[in-house]
Amino acid sequence: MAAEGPITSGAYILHHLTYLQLDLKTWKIVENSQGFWVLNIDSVFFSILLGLLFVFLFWPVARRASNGVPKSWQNFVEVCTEFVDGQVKDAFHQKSKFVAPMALLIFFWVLFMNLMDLLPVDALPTAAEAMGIGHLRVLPPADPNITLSMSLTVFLLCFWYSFYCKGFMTNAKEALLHPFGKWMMPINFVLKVVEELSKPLSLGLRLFGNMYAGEVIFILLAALTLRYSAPAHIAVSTGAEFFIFAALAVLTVGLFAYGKGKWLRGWLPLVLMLVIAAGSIMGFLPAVGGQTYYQILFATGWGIFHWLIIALQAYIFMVLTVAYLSMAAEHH
Amino acid sequence: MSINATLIAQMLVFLILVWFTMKFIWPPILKAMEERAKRIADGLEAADRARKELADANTRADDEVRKARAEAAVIIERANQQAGQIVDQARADALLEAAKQKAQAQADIENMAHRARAELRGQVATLAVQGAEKILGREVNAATHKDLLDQLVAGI
Repeated sequence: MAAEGPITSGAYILHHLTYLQLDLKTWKIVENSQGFWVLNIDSVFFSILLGLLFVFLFWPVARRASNGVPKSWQNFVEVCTEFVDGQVKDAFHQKSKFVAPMALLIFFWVLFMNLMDLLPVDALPTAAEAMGIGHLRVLPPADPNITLSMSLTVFLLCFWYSFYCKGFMTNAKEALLHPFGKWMMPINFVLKVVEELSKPLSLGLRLFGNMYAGEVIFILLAALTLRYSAPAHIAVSTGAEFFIFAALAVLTVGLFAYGKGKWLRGWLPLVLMLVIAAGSIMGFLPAVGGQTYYQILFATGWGIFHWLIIALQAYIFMVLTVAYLSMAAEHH
Repeated sequence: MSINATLIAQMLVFLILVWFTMKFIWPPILKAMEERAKRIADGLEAADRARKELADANTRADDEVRKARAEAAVIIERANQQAGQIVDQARADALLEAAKQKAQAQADIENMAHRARAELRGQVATLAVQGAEKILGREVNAATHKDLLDQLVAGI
């Protein structure tokens, strides 16, 4: 965070949504540049990093793959491979050398990129700031360039694969004679173009939207619980903490009163009471990290839920890629 | 939120990673898995075959044992029969021998009795004469009463 003056939550959020950019015409680091010849260094850096993570997790296994009893890591990799292979076999009925590996790559790459969302929002940007880098966005899928580039690549592959499998005439016929017959060729063609373009757009924007929303919620939680110097923010964050407190206290009392069994009546309220006690001590002592405490509490709650979205979006991206390629290869 | 050159850079990264995965990661893993699947299938098949062979061998062994037992029973039966025959034979021989000896003994006895009787018969005449002499108080001429004496001897 920039140190000059009191930071408003608006500035805080904006700070977290600003890319580290390189202007390719002048080779200078820029901010919020609107031109096309600009590279979002942070997005590309982290996507390459996570792509390499995939490579270095899977490649050693691939190099030393034995058909004997698999060791634990090979076992895990094989389970993953088998899972992806099964998904591909379900959706894709042609023979192809690249579809299944691509599905594997997409699933794990997108999964790893999505998982960056679970890092505390300030952790890497603060570290980068210490090294003199002003802005850093660590979640590549929250950059539409990243998701759209992948979906456009998939789209181009579909396009190529469609010609490869069916030839020019079949494709032309499908584009021009469907769905209204030969007297409505222009309309058919326009419909086909819209249909084909909607695929990569929806594929890329779905992932982008989900991850962007998740990231913004983390940033908002962080902004809400950080005590800024502005009194309004103290009021807001204290109010939020008080509300959470009250909810936890009601839950604890309710569990004591109506809970059944060892867990609902015993351990869970006890843990909640400890959380409240710790919060009430730390919340009044910002010096020992009261704000961090609340951020951890809220972000953990959202993070646990967000796991679902992270895994689901990676899975959906993979399955839809395979489905689109399958559609491109099949005759209609 | 603007689209920029990141798009192109990321496309290149994506294509390179796809190529790498397709070339170096996917095929060896899948190959190893398929080979293992085949090995396991082969192993299961071999185990099945071995189990069947074992079952066959067991049946064969059972057959052999049963056959051997039947043969042994036959041999024992035959031996028993032979033993019986020998015993019967011995008993028959013994009986025959006994009968022979018994007959021999009887013949001897009869012989001796015959001889004794003949001797007695010879002496009866003398005794009769002596008795008569005592009764009559005089000497009896045996020659005169020879026919009478013979009659007596024959009557004994």
